[in-house]
Amino acid sequence: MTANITVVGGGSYHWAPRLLADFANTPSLSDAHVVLHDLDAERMHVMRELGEAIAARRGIGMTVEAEAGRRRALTGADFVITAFSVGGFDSMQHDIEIPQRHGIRQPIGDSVGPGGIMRALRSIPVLLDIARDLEAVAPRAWLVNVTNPLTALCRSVTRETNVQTVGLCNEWVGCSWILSLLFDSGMNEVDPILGGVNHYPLATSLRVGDDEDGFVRLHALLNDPERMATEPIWMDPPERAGWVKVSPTDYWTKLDVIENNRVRFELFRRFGVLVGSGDHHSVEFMPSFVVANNDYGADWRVHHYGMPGHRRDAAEDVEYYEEMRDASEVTRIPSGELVAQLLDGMVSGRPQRLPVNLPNEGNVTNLDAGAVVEIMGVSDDAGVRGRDKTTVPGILGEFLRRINVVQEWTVEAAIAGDRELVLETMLADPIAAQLPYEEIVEMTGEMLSATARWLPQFDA
Amino acid sequence: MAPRIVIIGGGSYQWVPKLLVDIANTPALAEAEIVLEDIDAEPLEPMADFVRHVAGVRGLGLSVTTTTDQREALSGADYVVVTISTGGFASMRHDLEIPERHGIKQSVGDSVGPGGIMRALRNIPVLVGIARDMEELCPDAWMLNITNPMTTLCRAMTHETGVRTVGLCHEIAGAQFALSLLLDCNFLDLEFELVGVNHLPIFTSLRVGGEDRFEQLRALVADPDGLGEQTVKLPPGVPAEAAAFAGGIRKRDIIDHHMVKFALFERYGVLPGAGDRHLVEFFPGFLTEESDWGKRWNVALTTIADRERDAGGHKDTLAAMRASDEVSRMPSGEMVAPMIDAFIRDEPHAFPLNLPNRGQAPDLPADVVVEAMCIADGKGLNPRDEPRLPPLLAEWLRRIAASQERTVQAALSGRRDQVVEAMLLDPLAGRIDFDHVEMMTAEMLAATARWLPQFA
Repeated sequence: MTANITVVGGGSYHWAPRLLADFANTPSLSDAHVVLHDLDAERMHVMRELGEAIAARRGIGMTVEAEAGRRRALTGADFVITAFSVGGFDSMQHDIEIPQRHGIRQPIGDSVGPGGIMRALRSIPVLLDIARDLEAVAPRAWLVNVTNPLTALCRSVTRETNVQTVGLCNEWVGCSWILSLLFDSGMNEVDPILGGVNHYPLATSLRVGDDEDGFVRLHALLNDPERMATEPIWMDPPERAGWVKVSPTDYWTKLDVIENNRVRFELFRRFGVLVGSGDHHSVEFMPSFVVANNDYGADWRVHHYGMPGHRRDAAEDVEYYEEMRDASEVTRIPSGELVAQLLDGMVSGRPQRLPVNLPNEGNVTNLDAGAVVEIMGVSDDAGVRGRDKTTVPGILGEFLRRINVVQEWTVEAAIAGDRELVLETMLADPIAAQLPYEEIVEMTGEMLSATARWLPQFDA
Repeated sequence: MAPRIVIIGGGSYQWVPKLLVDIANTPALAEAEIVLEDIDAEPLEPMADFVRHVAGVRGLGLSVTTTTDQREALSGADYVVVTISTGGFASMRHDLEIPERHGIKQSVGDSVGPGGIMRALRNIPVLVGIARDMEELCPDAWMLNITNPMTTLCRAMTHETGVRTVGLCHEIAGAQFALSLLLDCNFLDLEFELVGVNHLPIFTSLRVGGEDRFEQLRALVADPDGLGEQTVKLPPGVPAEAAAFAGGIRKRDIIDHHMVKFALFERYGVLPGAGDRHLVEFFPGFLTEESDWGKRWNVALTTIADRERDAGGHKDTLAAMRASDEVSRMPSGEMVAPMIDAFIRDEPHAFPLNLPNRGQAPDLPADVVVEAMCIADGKGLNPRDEPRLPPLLAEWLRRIAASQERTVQAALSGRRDQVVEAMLLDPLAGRIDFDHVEMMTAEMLAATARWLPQFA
């Protein structure tokens, strides 16, 4: 079967090269028909050409088409990947800078917190338009959303439409790499039970290899300073990870891994739950890590992306594209994104295990049914479904419950176009709520005004 | 049959005289057997002497005994009033001073926040000890708890023991009085529903004669200047003492002294019913540097020196009452005597009470202790209403409840990590750095270790 894959935001320098190469490297998708749709017609054709070059270099049957008409692009799709950013850096800048003027510093600002809330308000109406088109022209298609904030966006679709939706994020892949460094294992040998939301996936247990308890191994390592400080890791961290060398050895050690993921391992040590996302994401879900008296996370080595970080990422994406365009061979290294793997399971029927964002069907007992949760899932010819059922214990479970309330309200506010609801959402957000009420009112008003042109639902 | 009313902490100058006068003013309790128990014998005799004085002046059959033996006191009790303070000011000082060094200032420190959490850790084992004795010596008695932090203490009782427990707090009466003055109505004519936790109870409706008064209140609060120099009008029938206390007060001063509750009322459309000094500890945005630590909200931080001065005042008050040949007929606003009266006479009466949630707080989890209107009668206590809260306050209370549940667990288990967790979940304590929360907690546990045997 030839998979019909439509990529909305198909001109993305980040997503298009990675998706096209991953499709080419996945036998079940190498003859896919890929439709790229983007508001930027020029970029859409740039990526079409890249896709055609990839197919030609490999001699595979993958065909690539650029289609500016959204409905036409969606018609007949089996899978629709949504990867877009409403307003781009122009809007994102306000997400970061306005809260900063009020004393809130967000390391990233793309999941929750004032920035994540605003980004959801901008993106949800666009995604819902796409989903409604899908209901009309390809009602059986799977919507695979990779746009942030992932949880709120997926939830808006599952709440408002009948489109089958799954959200994908590679944060757990990063965590499995970190665990592989600590366990001297392969990344695929670690298998967690996850219960959380996107950018705050919480592992309540972990298996390594065939039947070893990863948490027992991890606790043993964390309780053995000598081992941590001396045991080498099987690969050096890439420069772009920005890690600080802490151990006195002339090689990278396990202590360096732990010290450069301080929040993650401190939470694990205390609460026995492993946060599966990077510290720069997870601290936006909890009130006590990015505050004035720890120099806004510096004491925890929390990396602040800020606008420069987002711009650097974007510049790197262009370089990545150019390298791929100019190479004579198509890379065989997986991008680390999970879209091709998910689709492979459904197209080939060979079950694939991966973290997915799906409506809660009792998978995470801390959260209500229907909330979109990040859990381990399986994709095969029957579709995508959650694999596990778990309860997040202790205060992380309560933090999860709190943030999910914020996410549900974010969706509600985005759909209703209700300023009061936006304010209430900010007032309930653990990061935004650190400010006095009047300040939250001001900040919310400023953010809504500054980004008004991307928020048509708040007109009138 | 004369009820046996035991007061644990019966030497409290702050609480006991008021309760005794209320008992004297309640005909059904005229023959009551009062048992005053305290670990400190010194104030017991002056207190017993006061009971005899009141009985003499009024010609009542009240009897009084005193003891420092808890088990002796509890034997055969019908009602056990608990008014204790484990460690007193010596421990409370640490509740305030240590968090202050970490950037957290508290206005009271007796309900939530670092101080409220620590106070619960000290009092819960003592209350459990009382309840264990009650299970054995007076299993059918009611425990009427007026000790703070009320929510967590009552919750520990209902979680851990079989003793019938209710928490009684006068904050609603205070709010009711202020509202009656603002709205020119009689205190007793206010009808309302409320729900929340102790020190954060929230009026969800307010009526007089079936008519909504929130609208009128909203208008007053929106324009306090419009009140000019207008003073309160006391309705006929107000007792002389109350008239002396409240006469001549400007309405706008009342609004100024309830800035926090009226700000919350304007924001959320429902009205918190405790004193502002309590309310601010439940939200992170009031006790901040920007507000000059509450000053902008007319909230003063109660210091230990203030408390010491108040304690001296309570002693003087008792001396003055003892010297008088009259006994006040004004209700104190405490609910102990009226509630026992409702039990004994099987006369249904509504009170704001702290009880396990059996549906009276539909926005909160089952079994947590909540404050809501309940009916007391011969059969006991039953919730009256099922008021819903606006979503944000409902969520806020769920967060408070989560911290309170953790506090109770920590107090019962003696686990330090659970204390840290309760702090991290608390809106006031959890707003400083994660590591600092632990440092602060460790310092507080160390400084008050002698009152925390379960952590030894």
